[in-house]
Amino acid sequence: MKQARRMVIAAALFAWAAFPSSFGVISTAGAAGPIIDVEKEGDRRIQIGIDLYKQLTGDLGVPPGDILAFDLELSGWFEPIRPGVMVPTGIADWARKGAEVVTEMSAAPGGFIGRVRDAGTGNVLLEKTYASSEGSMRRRMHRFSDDIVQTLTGEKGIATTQIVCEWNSGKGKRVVRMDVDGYGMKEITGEGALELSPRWSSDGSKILYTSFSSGYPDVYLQDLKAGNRKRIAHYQGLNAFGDLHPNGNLLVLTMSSSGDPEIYTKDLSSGKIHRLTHHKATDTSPVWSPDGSRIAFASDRTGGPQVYVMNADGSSPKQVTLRGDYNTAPEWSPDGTRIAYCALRPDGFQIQVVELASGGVTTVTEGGGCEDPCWSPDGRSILYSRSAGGRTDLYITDLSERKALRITRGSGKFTTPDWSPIP
Amino acid sequence: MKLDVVWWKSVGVLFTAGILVAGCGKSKPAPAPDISAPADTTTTTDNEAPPERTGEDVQYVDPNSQYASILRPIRFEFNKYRITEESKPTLEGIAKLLKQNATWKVLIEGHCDEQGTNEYNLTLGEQRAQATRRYLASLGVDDGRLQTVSYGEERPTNMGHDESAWAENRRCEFKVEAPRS
Repeated sequence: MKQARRMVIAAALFAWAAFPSSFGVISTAGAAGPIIDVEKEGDRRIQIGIDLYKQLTGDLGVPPGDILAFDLELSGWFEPIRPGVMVPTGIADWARKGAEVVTEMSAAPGGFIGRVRDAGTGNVLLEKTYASSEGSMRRRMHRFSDDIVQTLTGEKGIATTQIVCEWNSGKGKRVVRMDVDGYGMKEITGEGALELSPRWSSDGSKILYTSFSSGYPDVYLQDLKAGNRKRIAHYQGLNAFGDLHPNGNLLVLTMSSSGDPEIYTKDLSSGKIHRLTHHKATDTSPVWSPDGSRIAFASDRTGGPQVYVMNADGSSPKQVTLRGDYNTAPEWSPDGTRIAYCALRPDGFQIQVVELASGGVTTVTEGGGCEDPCWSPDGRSILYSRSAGGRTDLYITDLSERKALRITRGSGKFTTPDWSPIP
Repeated sequence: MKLDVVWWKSVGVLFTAGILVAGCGKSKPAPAPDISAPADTTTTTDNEAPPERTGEDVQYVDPNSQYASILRPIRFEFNKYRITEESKPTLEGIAKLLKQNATWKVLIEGHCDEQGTNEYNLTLGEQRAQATRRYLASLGVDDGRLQTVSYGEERPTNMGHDESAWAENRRCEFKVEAPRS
């Protein structure tokens, strides 16, 4: 395994040797192919040495190394090695601590230079200047992290993505968005009514959510760039849990104007409505499959709520959760092969994943109190809320090692998250 | 443990539920058919737009002390929206009061305990409010005087985290139209 990686590192070095002038932008390692063999080493984390880089703290409040280490751990590709009491004095020292690669940061005119070296050879694998004109220090650290992921794995990083969720400060729930590491939180409307179940449009430019602005639950669409919103479903009864089709304007949602919650689509261009379910039961929480051909939803038509999948026109509903009698809040994996959901197990509410082809079920979380899963845009991790010890926070668990990282730290309760696409 | 999908499929859904319950340590009875399930409402075609909500401007308030004991909350079982036997006398009293005061409009608020996902609970609260509305209508109250709203688990009446708090929070509350000034 190690040999396979070394070989690609060699390829990257060759690329660097051939085109050294390309530095200042990203290294050409990406063009030479990934450095870690994802197929063979997908479940192994690269040991990466990260110093604090205190000299670059500035008005950041925390050493930049802490942000970088959190980002790289969150990516699921890296195991950060921190300086500890005995700060490593050089690259050989880092190697002795187990680092395979080492990050370096140094001040540069108008920004900083981020670098990654092979801890064994000292060779530079990535070098790039991050100018302060490109955004806040925190933002640039996220970009450095994503560049490291891209260079060493060939895959896109997730450090510059964002999260929307409900935030209950004690004065009711508001929809907020924040960076994926939990920082930079802000309300999306500043409106003050009860707001629930936010969800990104597939291009990341809009957020759908349910608001009680009128006194009743209606579905709204918030345009993040324009900063305005539209009420797009306000029929008799409940209007909630909208999800926009990946290719456009077709909204799928839950409405109860017929007397019980059913699943409908609404074309936002023509305003046309189509009812998809006809069951004297609760049909709710619909979500489009990533290719837009199917819809997953929760229904109690056989007793307790279970997850079903049907075609986009409502035909051929099929139950996909077959164990337990409480399975809700379905979410498709980005490749459409799996569905994550919230299951009531003997040890409490847990996040589970069912593989659609085999029906095989995996429990992702431990300890109970876990609800409302969603997938990272790279499909490697699951984000969910967990209630424990009087707090309700958002956690991210990677599916290979199942290590739970808490991302919210502030006061209040954080629930029902949704993860943005990669910008 | 991998599930034998073919076998499970062949068993049939209700039987599956029974097996699962029997094999589960923390067992719950298999859910009975819900007698308060809505009538089939597919009188409209699938492409017909549902009616837009009316009466958003009506203000509802807690019933005053004279009527609070009649318009008192009714409770529900965990994850159920069936009207319980214990709730029926309360609803009969409410129906009688509403027939005596034929101009009153009432808001039925459906609520849930904190167990389970917020989204599912918002839908469950809607089912509770709608089941209550149907029951009152079956007792002769004009359906047009009854408005419903679900708050799911968002407005608990008891902030505790145990079964007695949850039992109190699984409820429908009744509000009456505020006197117009």
